[in-house]
Amino acid sequence: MTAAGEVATSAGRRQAERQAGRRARLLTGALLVPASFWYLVLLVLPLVIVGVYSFGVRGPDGGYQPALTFDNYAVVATRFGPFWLSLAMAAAGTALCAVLAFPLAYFIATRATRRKTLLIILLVIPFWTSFLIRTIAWVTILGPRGVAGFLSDLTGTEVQLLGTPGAILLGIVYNYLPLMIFPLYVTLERLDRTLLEASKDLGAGRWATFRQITLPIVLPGVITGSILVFIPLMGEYVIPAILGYGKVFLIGNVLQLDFLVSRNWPAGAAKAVVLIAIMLVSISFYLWFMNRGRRTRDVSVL
Amino acid sequence: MDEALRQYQADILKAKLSRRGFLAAAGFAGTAAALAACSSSSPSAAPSSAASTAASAAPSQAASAAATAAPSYGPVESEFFLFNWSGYFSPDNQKAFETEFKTTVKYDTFASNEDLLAKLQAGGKGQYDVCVPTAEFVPTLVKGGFIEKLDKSRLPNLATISPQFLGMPFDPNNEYLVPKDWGTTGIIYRGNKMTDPITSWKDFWDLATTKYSGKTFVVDSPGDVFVAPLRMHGFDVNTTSKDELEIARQELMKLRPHLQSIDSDTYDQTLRDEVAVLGLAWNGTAYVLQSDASGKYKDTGYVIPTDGTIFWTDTWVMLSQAPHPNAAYTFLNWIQDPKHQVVESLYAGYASCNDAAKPLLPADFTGNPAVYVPSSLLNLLSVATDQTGNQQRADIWAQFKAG
Repeated sequence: MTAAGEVATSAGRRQAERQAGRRARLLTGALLVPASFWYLVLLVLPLVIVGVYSFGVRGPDGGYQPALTFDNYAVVATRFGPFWLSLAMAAAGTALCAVLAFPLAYFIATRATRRKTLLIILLVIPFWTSFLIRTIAWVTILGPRGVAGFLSDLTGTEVQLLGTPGAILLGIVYNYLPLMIFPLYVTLERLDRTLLEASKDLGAGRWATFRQITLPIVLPGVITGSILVFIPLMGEYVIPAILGYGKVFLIGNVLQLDFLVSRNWPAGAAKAVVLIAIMLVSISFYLWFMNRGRRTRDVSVL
Repeated sequence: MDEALRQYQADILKAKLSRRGFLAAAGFAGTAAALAACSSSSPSAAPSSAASTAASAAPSQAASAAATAAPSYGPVESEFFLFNWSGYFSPDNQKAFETEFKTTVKYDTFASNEDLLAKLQAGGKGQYDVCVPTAEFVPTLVKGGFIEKLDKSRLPNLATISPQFLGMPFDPNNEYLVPKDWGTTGIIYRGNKMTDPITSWKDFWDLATTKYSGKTFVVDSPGDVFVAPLRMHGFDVNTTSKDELEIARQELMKLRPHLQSIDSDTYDQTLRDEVAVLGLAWNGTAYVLQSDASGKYKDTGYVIPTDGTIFWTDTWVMLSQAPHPNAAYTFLNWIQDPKHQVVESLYAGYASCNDAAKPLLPADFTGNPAVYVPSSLLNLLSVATDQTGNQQRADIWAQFKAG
């Protein structure tokens, strides 16, 4: 083969590679179209609309009328109670879910052996029934013919469980627990048992092993689970409406009141924007807090 | 009178009716004609100033119905979409309507007038045939273009509507609404457990904040709850005065910590369970509890407060772009048949707006002060207008809910 021929083939190869590259890029682009559409039209655009609405005023018969006013935000500042209550409820609910889910996820991932599939199926079964029906079932369980009645008879004083923050917390944890269990289970299942054995061999106690080996490895699962639970909890509306007897007033219920009762869309939109801001801040703080420990440890190892 | 018959003969000729359907239609036309006669001759006992105009309006409508030769509208569609409050349409009537016209009723519910409006505003057009707003919300529905002017020639049974409910300020020319039933907002209690005398909102506040603290509820409906503190101080129920509303706010916040619930959906159950024994609610529940088959709740009492309250009229309206107009018209006419009205009233526990139905109802129903307000108390009742646009009220309500 002559030198010129070699040059020609390598040029041809390069061209073919370039063509393949272009095809790959085209394919990537095509595959990204649905997700981009989803993101832009169903997430970004509605957010922009909410943002624009939040500066408007209520139309004479409800709804939205264009305007440029900050009144809706000024009102939010004076009625901050439901935000605090939601934040407290969401934080407490997430923490409770994590504490309850961890032992169970650990058991299923490491000890359940052959019953693993069965246990996972059992966890999924409640989802076959409507979320609404499962929540309304708690009304009967906690009501005067259920636990509250039993406690009243037992103590001789009237006990009311429904309509208290405790009842809401119970409903929240009950409904959201699986969202915490599954991410934890997935990370725990990938946990390399030999690391635990090595830790034991090197003289670490159970607690030290848990703290220094298990927990850092499971951390991504905890973070995923917490975010999965925390975000919908902040907007939770149905559980307090059903178990709260109309008396536990979370931010979701405020939004319902603004949009469906007062029909004051701009006021509701402003609160929605504030809610999004609160969530961004709290989740950023949470991620920073959770990752902070890891980074310092990485450095110390180096 | 015979226009009803003629209309029906025309309908019968057009539509293929089963034998059963034919008999029902024939019998129905007969009673309707007979009752139309009673209604136009019976003067109204109502406090309504509209009575005189209405009395003359009813026969003239009937006459115009007779004048137009019944045009062909086509058969009743196989489906009928009803948008209504929960538990506000008798299942017996539903079954009867479905078999008679070989149609299926799809019954969706809303929780409050505000909820209904919000759902329509968010794009509910063309989804339903008939819905049931309270009369004061009808002007908003008209302005929004959500509901349709009714073709009265297709509704001959409207002749039996009590003149009291015609020409209401919300629909002065009776173009849009057909009155369904009416009731009041007042004080409900379980006589076995709530033994103190109670006659006014003032008493209600005193008892709820002391002896019955934690055993009292109010309905989750601002339009009804605002009535109590306002009337307690002698203010107009529709007031927009800042000072008067501020006083109402203070009263509401005084009551709030003592409430067992703020709830419209399950309060009949909490009354049954005696979790709550006193409440601000609608009168229908009192009758439903009193007449419970078990007989366990006969002690339920209902009071029209002496410091005054509201009465409201729920209405059938036809939505614009209704997907099944023939079913809608047939239904609106059919449901005004006195015998269907009787079923409806006894089911929901509310007084019928149909004069012809009243004599057919049992005496313990029409004589029950929880259902038919005694005429001596009619002067205590006023009509509410839609106040949801009032920012101060919305704010007070949000504060009340948050506690």
